[in-house]
Amino acid sequence: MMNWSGLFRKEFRVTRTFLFAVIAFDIVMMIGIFVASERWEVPYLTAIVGGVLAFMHMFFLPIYLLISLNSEGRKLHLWLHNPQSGSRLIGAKVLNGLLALLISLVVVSVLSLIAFNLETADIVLPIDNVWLLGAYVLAVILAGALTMGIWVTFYWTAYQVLKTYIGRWALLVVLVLIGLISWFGGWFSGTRAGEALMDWGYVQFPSPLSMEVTQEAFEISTSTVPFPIGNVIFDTILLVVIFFVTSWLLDRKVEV
Amino acid sequence: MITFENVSKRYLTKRALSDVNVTIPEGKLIGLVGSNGSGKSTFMKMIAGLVGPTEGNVTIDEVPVTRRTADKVAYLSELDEYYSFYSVKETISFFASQFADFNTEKAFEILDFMEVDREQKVKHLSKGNRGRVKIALTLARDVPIILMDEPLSGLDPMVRDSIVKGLLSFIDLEKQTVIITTHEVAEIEPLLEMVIAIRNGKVLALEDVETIRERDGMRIVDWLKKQYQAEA
Amino acid sequence: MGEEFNPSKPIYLQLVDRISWEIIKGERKAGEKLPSVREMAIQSGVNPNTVSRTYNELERMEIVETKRGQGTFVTEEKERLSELREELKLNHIQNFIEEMKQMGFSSEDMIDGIRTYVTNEKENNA
Repeated sequence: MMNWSGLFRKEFRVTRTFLFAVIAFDIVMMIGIFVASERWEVPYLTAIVGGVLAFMHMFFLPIYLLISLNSEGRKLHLWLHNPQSGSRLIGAKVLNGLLALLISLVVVSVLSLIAFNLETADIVLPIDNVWLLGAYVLAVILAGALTMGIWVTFYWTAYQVLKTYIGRWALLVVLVLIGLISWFGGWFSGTRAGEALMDWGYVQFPSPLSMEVTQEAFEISTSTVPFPIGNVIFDTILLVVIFFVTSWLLDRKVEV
Repeated sequence: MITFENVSKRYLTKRALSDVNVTIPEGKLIGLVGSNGSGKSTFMKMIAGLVGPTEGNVTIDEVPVTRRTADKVAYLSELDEYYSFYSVKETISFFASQFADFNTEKAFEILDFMEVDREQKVKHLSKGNRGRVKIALTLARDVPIILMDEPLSGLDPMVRDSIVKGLLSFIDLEKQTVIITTHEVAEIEPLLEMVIAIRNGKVLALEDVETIRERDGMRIVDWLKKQYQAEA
Repeated sequence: MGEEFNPSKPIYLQLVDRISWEIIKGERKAGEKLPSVREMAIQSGVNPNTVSRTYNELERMEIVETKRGQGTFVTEEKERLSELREELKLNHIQNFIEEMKQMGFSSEDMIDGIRTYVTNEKENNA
């Protein structure tokens, strides 16, 4: 376990500055908006900005990983000269990124909640259950962050592999690859096979909102929201596969 | 025992190694000599599993080399990059956490021997002291194979002297095989037991240094010239 | 870093010569312990295996003895050491004569030359 914790602590140091910068930005932004909103008199402004900031955390992980990976890219001989498996080398970065994301997210959430509770406007937001809403938001942020993070790691690794053979053209090839894979993903999810794989297992999740939807075409009860479990399973399997393909590339194909 | 069997390495436009067949015996301090771009670094990286062959096999004790062979090989890169946020001490403890065979006491002993301040940040060290830290990190591993790519290059004579002394003090040829590449072979000639001559990605010869002196009456540099001429 | 070595002779033999020379000059006494292989390697900047070979050669020549677990010692056999002294003397004379011959001096020239040189030196020192 010593090698894992050593790696984990090292990863934290690699990107510590980025995390601190983001947290500083969170705090300055939230307090700034809070102070300004006194004057602007926009109800719930701070909480809303907090929500937007929270959603922007989806991009935190991919950016974090890019910074971390690029810093290793300058000294690959050091990062790769290590008996630990590729999945551990990458895993330490992904988990560290998630941890950093959560730390920053907690800062934003706490500040948002404080602002929410200090709100003096008499408009009541249509939210039944703040905690449930928070949990959904968190799940969406984490899922988005992980998806982007894992793909970024894959493309970065593919770039490293290609760079050995085609030098600067690697970037172009990777960009084309990103385009192709994204296009394929979009096209595939629209096909029958795609739908069969992803669009199944609907369950009803309780809704945290108390919105009265009165449109006639909208039949579904507003107290629950439908959710396809199949989609989650498909995406999870896909991400796990991409993660291990990336690890394999790192172990076998990336050269110093 | 390190074995190269019909090993070639090709990139898009160039050949780094072509059809290398060589078996490197255990328990020796071996110099890998050749001009710039002759394939020395590629050869070393292949033993470390950081570069894979396009054709052929590289094995250590008959096991194919991969990146994870790092548990049997300590590799000192010619590059001078460490985690800049770490102090010397923290770098040592990071290495100790990553390599089961890392001997922390030995690392500090080597650093003291070479008079390096362990509290300094690696990025604030002079080039000479970074060179010394690299040596300490490499030699502190109780590992069967040690690879050192240009450990002396760009360092002043004082530093080189302390590195050579450190090398002699802290390697154990009963258990370790050491391969060193260098431009300045004359400087470490008495240290070497064997030399491998490499040119344009081809291994020209693997020879005992004392045999070269006895049979050819030559220093390694002259012997290397002769090998190069014979090939040209 | 170490001393210069003659490129045309194996280093282990040069070390054998050097150590023999030190023994004859009395820098290393009979029965004295030689540095360990590693120490010797560091002192002379030479591969440890080369030093081992040197020690083996010296042992074969019966100039040193290895005591198990204790190290390598200069022999205490006075006879062997005086033999060594004679060997080195012969060696030097041989080299001297060969070079003089190449320069075209006869044996008489050499003996005369030595005699004159030694006498002059004695007078200068007196």
